[in-house]
Amino acid sequence: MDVLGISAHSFDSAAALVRDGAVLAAATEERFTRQRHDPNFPRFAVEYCLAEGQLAAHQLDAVVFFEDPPAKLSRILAAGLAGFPGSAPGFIRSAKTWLEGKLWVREEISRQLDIHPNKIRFLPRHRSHAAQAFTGSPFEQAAILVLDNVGEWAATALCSGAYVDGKLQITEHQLISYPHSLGLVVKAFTDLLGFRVDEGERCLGDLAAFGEPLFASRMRNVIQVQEDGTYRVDPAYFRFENIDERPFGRPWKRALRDRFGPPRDARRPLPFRSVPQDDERRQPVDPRDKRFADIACSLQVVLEEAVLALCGRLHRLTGADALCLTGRLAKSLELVRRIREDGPFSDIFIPPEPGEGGCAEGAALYVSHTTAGTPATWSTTPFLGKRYDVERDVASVSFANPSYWQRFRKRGTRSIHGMRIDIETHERFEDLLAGVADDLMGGRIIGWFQGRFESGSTALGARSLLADPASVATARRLSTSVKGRPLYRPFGLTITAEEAGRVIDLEGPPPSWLRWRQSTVRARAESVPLIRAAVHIDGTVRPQVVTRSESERLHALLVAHGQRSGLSALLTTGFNEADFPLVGSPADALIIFMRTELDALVLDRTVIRKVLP
Amino acid sequence: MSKRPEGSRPAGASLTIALTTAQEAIGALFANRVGWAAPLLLILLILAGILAVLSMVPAIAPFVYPVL
Repeated sequence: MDVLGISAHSFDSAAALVRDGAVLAAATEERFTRQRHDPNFPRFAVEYCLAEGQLAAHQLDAVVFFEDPPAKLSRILAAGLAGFPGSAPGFIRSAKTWLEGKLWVREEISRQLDIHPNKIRFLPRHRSHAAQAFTGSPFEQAAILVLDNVGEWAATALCSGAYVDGKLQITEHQLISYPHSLGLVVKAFTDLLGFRVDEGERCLGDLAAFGEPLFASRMRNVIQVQEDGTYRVDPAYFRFENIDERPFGRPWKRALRDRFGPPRDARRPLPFRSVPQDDERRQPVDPRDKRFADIACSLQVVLEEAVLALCGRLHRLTGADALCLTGRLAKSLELVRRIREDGPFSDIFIPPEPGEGGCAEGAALYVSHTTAGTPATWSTTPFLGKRYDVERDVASVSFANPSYWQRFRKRGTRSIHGMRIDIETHERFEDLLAGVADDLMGGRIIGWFQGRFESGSTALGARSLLADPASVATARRLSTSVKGRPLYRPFGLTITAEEAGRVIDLEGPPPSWLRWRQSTVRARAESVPLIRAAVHIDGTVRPQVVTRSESERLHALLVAHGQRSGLSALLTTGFNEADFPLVGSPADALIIFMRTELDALVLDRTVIRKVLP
Repeated sequence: MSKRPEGSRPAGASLTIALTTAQEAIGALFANRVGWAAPLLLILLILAGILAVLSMVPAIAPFVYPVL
């Protein structure tokens, strides 16, 4: 049975192909179109999935859309009218985009794929989320917590999953509806703190480490945890209807500004440093900047309280020991850490892409597992994207003219006039390891491009940037001259499963949340000098524990680096520039290589190095 | 003439789909206890229809979809 899942018109459009209950291919559209969080119909992702499955669209047994557009429209109409007249501008824009396309999804899919409309099905969004989390997990029975921004009406869903007669069954215990959405509160504060909505949410968690929860009691008026473990959001502070359409209007009302102070001017950079150098440590922080960190910290504290209360309720409702956590808030590494440490569940699973991008997978999995049943064995992997042939692109690099590329260089980077490009292709992959490990020890930044790309937005070793974790200077250069991201944001740490116990508390095989970098973990004090650049101001790291079976090549590189540095660990981050999606094709990688201060690029078995005069 | 592959889109699907979707949308309003918004949806649909027709007249089109 071949089922195609599609998510579109929301955020991170994606497509996924499920064959006989296992995901064969999945990709977000942004990797192909290079538009970050591309919300358009995922035509290229669909094309890739069908090619990977070697089938034509009319051979599909079903096509499933990840949400129910008419039900979502009902919420937008109701919210628009409830907020009148303040909601009017956003509402008119909303009505236009809905009538122009968002409502006619069945028509759009039928036309784009040339398939019979009877084959197209729609699933409520929280069920797509829940199905993705549960079917991908190793559990036979589990509680499922969906922490979404908002789908049709549901913002938070408390569910449980089980297999009955070999078929998937998801039970909804409680749905908490719009406007009571934790995700939307985070979005509103993202805007108040001067970050771009849908982009800056990750910054909030990083920023929280620099603040104190001085606004926590005020925040508890905004998010009110109830005695039964649920929560309420006070709508007097927000104008959530403005979040539905781009460009977003202000999602908060004057009352929020009165409570928490004026919003941050986005043009003023924040002075915080994830890994401060001695002279920076001594500099006093402006109280105006400190207030923003305090707000972020207070939000984090109250958010954790609300989610822990939800976990308690879900545990009482289901009696399950294991939790499947999903939805956009599940991307918060700090939140996951708190649930792991203080929540009532003994085991936790988060799918590799818990946001909207993963819903395409979830929708297809739900239909496949409820109709045809669940296959006996299948394991979830994040590496479901497209595999590219790199030879042609490598050949084209040898003709690259540095003088031509100079005009496209990122601002603030060194000149590449007179630069030579050195290309080394090896017969055996193992032969390139020694040279690359030496480069890393020499403070060079490496672009790592291997195999199929990750289906989600977290780089896990298929499209990553790597550097030596002991060198703070290299990490700074990575932040400013390659990625272009603020210095208060920490990097991840990739480490082999064999050596992970030296840095964090780990016994036995690593759980999925460690393999896919989904939680912060406190670093052991004795390991800090070896991984200084990866330790955030609060003493935590964001580890990705690599096993030989999941990423053989990255594991081999880590071991080679470990032989030189004493610890098989590398500083890691996504292979992209700020505000761009992770790279998909070799050409995307080569553009970043030429534009930024990336020193070397490993494309499959080829190493490309810059040799500056 | 080649035969359409089984499962592919039948001719005249657009109108059927549009009617089905409109029916589903109104159904969803009632199902979510916001049935009172149904007349509003109908007005919006009629407006969209009028605008669609107007946009086909070359002299009027620039006012319906203003050139940015």
